[in-house]
Amino acid sequence: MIDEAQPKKAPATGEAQAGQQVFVVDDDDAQRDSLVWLLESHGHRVAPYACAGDFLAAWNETLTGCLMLDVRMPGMNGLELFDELARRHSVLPVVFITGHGDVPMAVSVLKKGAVDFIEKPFAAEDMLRLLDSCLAREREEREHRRDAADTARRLAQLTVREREVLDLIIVGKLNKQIADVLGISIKTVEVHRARVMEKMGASSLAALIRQIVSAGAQS
Amino acid sequence: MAMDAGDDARERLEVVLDGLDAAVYAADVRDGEILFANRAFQALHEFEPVGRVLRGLVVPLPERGDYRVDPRGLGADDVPCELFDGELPQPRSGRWYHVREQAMRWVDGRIVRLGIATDITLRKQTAEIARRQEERISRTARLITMGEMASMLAHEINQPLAAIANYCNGCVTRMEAGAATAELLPVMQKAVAQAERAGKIIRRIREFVKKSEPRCIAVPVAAILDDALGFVDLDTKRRGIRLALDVAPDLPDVHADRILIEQVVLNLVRNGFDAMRDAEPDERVLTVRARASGERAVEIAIIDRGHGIGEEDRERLFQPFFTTKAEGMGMGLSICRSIVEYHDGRLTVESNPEGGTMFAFTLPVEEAVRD
Repeated sequence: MIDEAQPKKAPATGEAQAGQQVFVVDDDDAQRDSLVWLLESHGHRVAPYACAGDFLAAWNETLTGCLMLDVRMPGMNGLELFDELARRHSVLPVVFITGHGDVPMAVSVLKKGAVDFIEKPFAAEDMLRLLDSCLAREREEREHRRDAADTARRLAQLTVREREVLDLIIVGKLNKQIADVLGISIKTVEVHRARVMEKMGASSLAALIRQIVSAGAQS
Repeated sequence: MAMDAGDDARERLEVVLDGLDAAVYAADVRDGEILFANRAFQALHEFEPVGRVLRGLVVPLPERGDYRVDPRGLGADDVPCELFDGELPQPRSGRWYHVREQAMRWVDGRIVRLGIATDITLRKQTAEIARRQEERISRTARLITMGEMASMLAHEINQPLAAIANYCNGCVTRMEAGAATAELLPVMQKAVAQAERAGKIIRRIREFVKKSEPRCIAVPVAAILDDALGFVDLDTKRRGIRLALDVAPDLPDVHADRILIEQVVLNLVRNGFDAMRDAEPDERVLTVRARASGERAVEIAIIDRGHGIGEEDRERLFQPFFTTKAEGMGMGLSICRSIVEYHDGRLTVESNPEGGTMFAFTLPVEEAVRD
């Protein structure tokens, strides 16, 4: 059958989405090349780098996905690259690939806040599962950051009075109480309130509160 | 009253000289009379040095033979010239000084030795410690334990094996999804190349092992034990272990590769230490015993009072990769036995009647081999 003759792309494990890439930094050609093949076989988009410097040169804050990093490399090693990325406020999650006897090193890395490490030789399923959870978490965090930025931008559009009204809404005050506190009419509160909802793009009071709380923007 | 320019300059010079940490002095080249000493020089001595002669000072001075020229014979035309520049110990205090002396004309026309001595004891000590550490490191590198060697090899071979696993794994996934041969072929070829790479590593190890083939010579047993036990000195102190050395007098030399046998002793001793980790402090005694075993062999025994070894484990003890330690590779005893058997000896294990374990191995005496 013609269909069968066409090389079908293997099914993605479902997590490589939204432009996410797996960045592989490993000085060993075979390690790197084989890891790229394995990851691509499972539907990931992969960008390989032979040394820390190459990756740093390509790095910018818009990269999304996950970084798989060999601990032992000549020149700048994995730990040093990790530190440099932290200095640059990179939010890319990092999975360290460690070898036999690197466990103490891995522990110190975890303490520094790296996402995870996996010891060579690893079972492919374990590695892929770990990677998927990293990618999922990265996506969630990125969405959360985007929402928070969106909320901040919307909040900045509120007038001083609207902001006052919003703060009182959040702490659970009724329109009547808000009117008393601010010394304005209920009618005016209702107008402000409608403007707040509109500017914040909130469909309900619950949605509004969720938005403010999750962005950590309460005053 | 205003000082004249000369007084002013002299005072400034004295302030500078007194501010130095180094001892500065000037002495007549002929009779050794001290004409000048700065504050640092005076602080080293309990007496006022000016007017005394240079003898029995705290600051060490060069012997006459150390000088490039005999300072006593110097005339006005010969100066200034350098007399000495070197490091000297002060035998009584054990301190070291860097001393520099120069001959020059003094203010009154006499020829003097102007000397400056800097205390360099601390720098000397630091250098000495660094040298000793380096020596220890290079010795340790030579006696790299077998466990570390095995761990290094494991890392080397791991690389190609991991790559093969990755390549094959990807291929399986794609084949399940119906990928064509053409897509998989180059990758399978890469996997083959990695298998060959692993093979090359094994071959390199074989060649290395062949090159470092043991060289057996006549060695005193005591020398082997001294060397090997020197490596665990620190360990014994840290772990509160008493090391009892029991070497029979007049033991004949054994025919052995010294370094290999030292490794065996080192491994067995370290095992003994590990076995006594949880022993009562006064029970932590490790005995190393050497005595004749018949006329043609010497037996070396390492006896601990540790937790002992169960009957079941004892049978598997010498198998490769058998270990009871969390971080062990299980290669130590297996290699120890191979080394001993290479020497036509036997490595055995039995229970210590006082509790614990005794490992013993025999080595042929030199004369028995020559016969």
